[in-house]
Amino acid sequence: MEATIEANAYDNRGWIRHGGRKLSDYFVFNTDHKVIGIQYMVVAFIFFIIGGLLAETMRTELAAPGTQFVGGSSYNQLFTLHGTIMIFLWIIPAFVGLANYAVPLMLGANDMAFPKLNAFSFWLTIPGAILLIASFFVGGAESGWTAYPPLSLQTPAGQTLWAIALQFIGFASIFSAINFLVTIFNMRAPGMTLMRMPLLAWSMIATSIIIILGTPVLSAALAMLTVERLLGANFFSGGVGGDPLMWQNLFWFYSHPAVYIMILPGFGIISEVIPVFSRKPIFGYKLIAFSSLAIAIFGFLVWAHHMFTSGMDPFLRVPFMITSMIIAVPTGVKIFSWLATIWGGKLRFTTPMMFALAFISMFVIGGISGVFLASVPIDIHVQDTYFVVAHLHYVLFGGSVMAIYAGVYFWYPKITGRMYSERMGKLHFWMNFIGFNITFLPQHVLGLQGMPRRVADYAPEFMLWNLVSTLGSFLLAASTLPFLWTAVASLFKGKPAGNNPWRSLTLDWTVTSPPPIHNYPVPPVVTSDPYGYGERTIVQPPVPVPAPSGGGGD
Amino acid sequence: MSHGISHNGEHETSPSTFDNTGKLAAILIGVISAVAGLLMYWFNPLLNNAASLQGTYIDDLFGVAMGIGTAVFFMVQGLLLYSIIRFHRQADDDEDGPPIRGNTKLEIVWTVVPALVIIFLGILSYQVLVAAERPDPDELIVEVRGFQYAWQFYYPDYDITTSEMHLPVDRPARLKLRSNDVIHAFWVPAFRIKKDVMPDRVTETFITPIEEGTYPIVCAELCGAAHSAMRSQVVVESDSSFKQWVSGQGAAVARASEAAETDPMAQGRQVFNQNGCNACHVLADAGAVGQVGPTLNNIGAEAGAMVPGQAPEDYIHAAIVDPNKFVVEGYPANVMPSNYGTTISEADLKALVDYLMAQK
Amino acid sequence: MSQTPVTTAIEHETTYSSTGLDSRKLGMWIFLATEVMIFSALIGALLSAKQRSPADANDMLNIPITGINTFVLIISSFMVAMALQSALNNNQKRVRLFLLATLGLGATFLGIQMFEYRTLLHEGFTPTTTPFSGAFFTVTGLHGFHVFIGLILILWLLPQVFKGKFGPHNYMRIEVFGLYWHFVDIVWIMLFTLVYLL
Repeated sequence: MEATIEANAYDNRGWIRHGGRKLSDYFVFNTDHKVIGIQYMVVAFIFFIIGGLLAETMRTELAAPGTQFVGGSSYNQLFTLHGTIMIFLWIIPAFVGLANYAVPLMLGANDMAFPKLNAFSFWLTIPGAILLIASFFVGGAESGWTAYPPLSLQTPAGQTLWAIALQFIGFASIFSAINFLVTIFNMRAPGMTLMRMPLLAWSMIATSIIIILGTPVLSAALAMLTVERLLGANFFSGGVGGDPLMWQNLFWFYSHPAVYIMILPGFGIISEVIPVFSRKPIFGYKLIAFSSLAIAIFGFLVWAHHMFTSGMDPFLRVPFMITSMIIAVPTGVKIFSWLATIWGGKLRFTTPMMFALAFISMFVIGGISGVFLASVPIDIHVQDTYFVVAHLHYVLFGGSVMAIYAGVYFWYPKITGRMYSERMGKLHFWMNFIGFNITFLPQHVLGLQGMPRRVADYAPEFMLWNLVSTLGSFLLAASTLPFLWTAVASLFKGKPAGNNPWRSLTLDWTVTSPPPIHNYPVPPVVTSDPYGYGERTIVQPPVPVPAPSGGGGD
Repeated sequence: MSHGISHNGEHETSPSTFDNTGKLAAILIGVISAVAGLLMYWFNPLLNNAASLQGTYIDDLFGVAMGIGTAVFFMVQGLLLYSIIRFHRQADDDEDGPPIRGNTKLEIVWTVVPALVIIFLGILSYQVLVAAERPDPDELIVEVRGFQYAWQFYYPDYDITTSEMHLPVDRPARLKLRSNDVIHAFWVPAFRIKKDVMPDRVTETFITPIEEGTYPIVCAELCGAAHSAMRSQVVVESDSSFKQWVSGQGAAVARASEAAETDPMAQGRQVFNQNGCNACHVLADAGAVGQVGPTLNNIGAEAGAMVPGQAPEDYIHAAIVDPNKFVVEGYPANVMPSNYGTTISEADLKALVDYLMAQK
Repeated sequence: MSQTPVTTAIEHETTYSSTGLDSRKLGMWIFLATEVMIFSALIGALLSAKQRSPADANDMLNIPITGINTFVLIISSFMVAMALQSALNNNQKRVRLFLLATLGLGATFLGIQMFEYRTLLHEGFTPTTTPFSGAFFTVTGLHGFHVFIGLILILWLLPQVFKGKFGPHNYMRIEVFGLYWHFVDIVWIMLFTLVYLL
């Protein structure tokens, strides 16, 4: 098996390889999904570093009570920009980048369904990103990433730029979601039925559905906010005929499902990494696939759990509590399925596998605290406190970011043709894992004890855990260095990876590393799902002559 | 790639990895999880000693959730750790693991059991919610005003307005909350009660304090630059001390209106304290110790020198109604609310300016 | 993709579809789902704003002129359908004619709407007057923007039409554009009913 896959190497056929691209290709409007994937990932990572530096500034300020060097509106601008960047310019585009690179390859497709639209989506993100950074310099948005009016109507001009920036990024996201859906429906290799797709494709279907139905609602809300700020319409302002709760309803109608936009691709990546390094088929394929759809659908019925303490109709809180709690069921199904996949396997602790296991471990904590927050009475106490900050970072850092790292290490050999350094990868992992927990675990306690979120100053009794959290965050920030080191150095010094260093069964590993510019000259024919570990009784069909077998069977 | 088994159906005769060691480990992990969960429920170390009746209900519910959460946590981490230790690949082993694709019974179990747990927690939460928001005919009404960046409490039964909240112990209170500007959230961590304070509607919450003491009131919804300074406190005291406090406040109001005739500064001081100026500025005469804006102890003397050619009283007036024009060096812009020109009446504004002019 | 020497792959790319649906058509349908959500959110906000406004907030709107405008847009929708039909019949002259008619009618619609805006602003019906008026300009403005985008798309299609590019085997661009244009039309009919008539 191993041998036949390696035998498919295209090296000697003289095709221009993806790895043979010029550096300049990555700076222009290029329609190759692999180039766009890398563009997304690199830009997202740059913003991860910017957002991280903003976070470190805040944590440094919070190391001791009192206002040391950032307070008042500057502090508010910091967390507004931090939240907005991490969500819209790091996690979402990083996943789009990974999926852009991997999904067409995994489906046996040569590109996305609309390559030009794909490039357009990426290049639409850039002006959005520039506007967002620019907003910081014209007074800055300072009403949090949630931008609740009337506060967001009071704040300076940067808030308008902020809203327009998100409009750009939102539409980029919508166009790429359309692209993913059409690609996954229409571009599958012959024989790849929906139930033979890699699970990453399933999670991208769910993600894209959420983006298509949710993001436009944010767009509409942002448009209203912009019109209200610029032309003086009365949508949201309190007291003069506006309805501040309408913003919250519209905003969370998007922004709660957006949480699933940020975690479902992670579920997909974990579902790819775990079977490969456990050498076992994924446990309960159908249930994992359908639970993604269930999360996408239920995700639209839970938004008001962010508003339990607001002035919403008190009775309506009960149905929203129930739907919110129900989300735990499909999520739990995934966790148990991954545990069952690992159970009895032959685990190989590569860096991506370690990140994947850490993902399960950390995401469970975020999931449990999520159920707490769904319970109205508990939420009445912990809403808008550091408990929420801890919860969302366990989900979005312990979950999404760990999954992004797992995906980046997993596909690094495919993308670059070289292996990363396991030593650096493990160093990165342990610094990241330990730093993360020291930073965010104490924040649960802070919130329960009475520390609200989004404050530059706090009562002296919260000093100890804040200091611990700040020290942890320094370790967390430092953990990025070994990653950067191996990500760059291994481009030049890494061992050649070969087509399939992980002995994975998905189609992406049948092409060369890096893949040829044109992925599959002859469409591969698929006869089963790609998780048949331990069932490898049948090998490759004979290689057709003279055309290359573009990956052969599945 | 392997053709393998051509569908995803579960194997009828799948090889088992669930041997005796595995069973024993699973049972052990289950027992440890249950014990850890029970201990967590029993001691509830993260949240207890609430100072309100509603808070004790919420703490009990939190204990149950924490117990369940802890059990789930130990179970998942236990299974994960056990798998990591036991199913480690041997260095020379290139074989795959057993091709187990699923187990319908198991999958039903881990869909249904969490659903039941969730339903249990949901019902419990509902009961606590109903109990926590039950009105009482004997309740004390307090009208809470939030504005950037201070709290104000009005007791309609006694017609007094204060910047500190007092509640008699064991008597149910109904809070009616309303904001003058943006959204705030009224939160007393010791009571476990939080409610948003909206500009366009009155919201309500219920508190029955059960423990005498002084507890912080915190604004929990981001409301602007001095959000973290928007704090006050609630004093829970015996019925008799509460009554004493009320009559003291009533007397103070009477004194103030009397004094207004003799002491021209009293009205200005009242305007200063009731509009939240005291939350951000230091002013010894008004007992204000806010740390956000410039100190005003000497403002009457300093005002003349701020803008060349401007009369000191004009400067003070302008700095109140259009604060961003006169940001003192070292202090951030856009912090002070810019709508005092509309929220404070002309007469009050004049009294305030006169009062500040007298601070030398 | 031009660098690849393998021609079979390119053929595969343009003809192959796992579901049998044309990708462009599927993409447009999905895009329209997004559009439905945008307009639902805005119309919801508009109805809510209307409730918070005085009962006579929409009295100033000019129903007869807008009625004519609605008629103009419906006819233009019909023209696109005719253009598609003509392409299927390979009648190049009529494709040109009907698409030009769509362009003209769409431009007329925008012109009348501009005129209405101007009159309203002149009469003191501005975005700040009531919550309803603000919502009115936002929603109809966004719809007008959609018509404008449609006109640009026609201007992009026209040179291709004049080159005789479309026929019974190549009509997808007109069909996909038609989907968009019909949608914009349907949104307007809803807006006309909810904003003006009710």
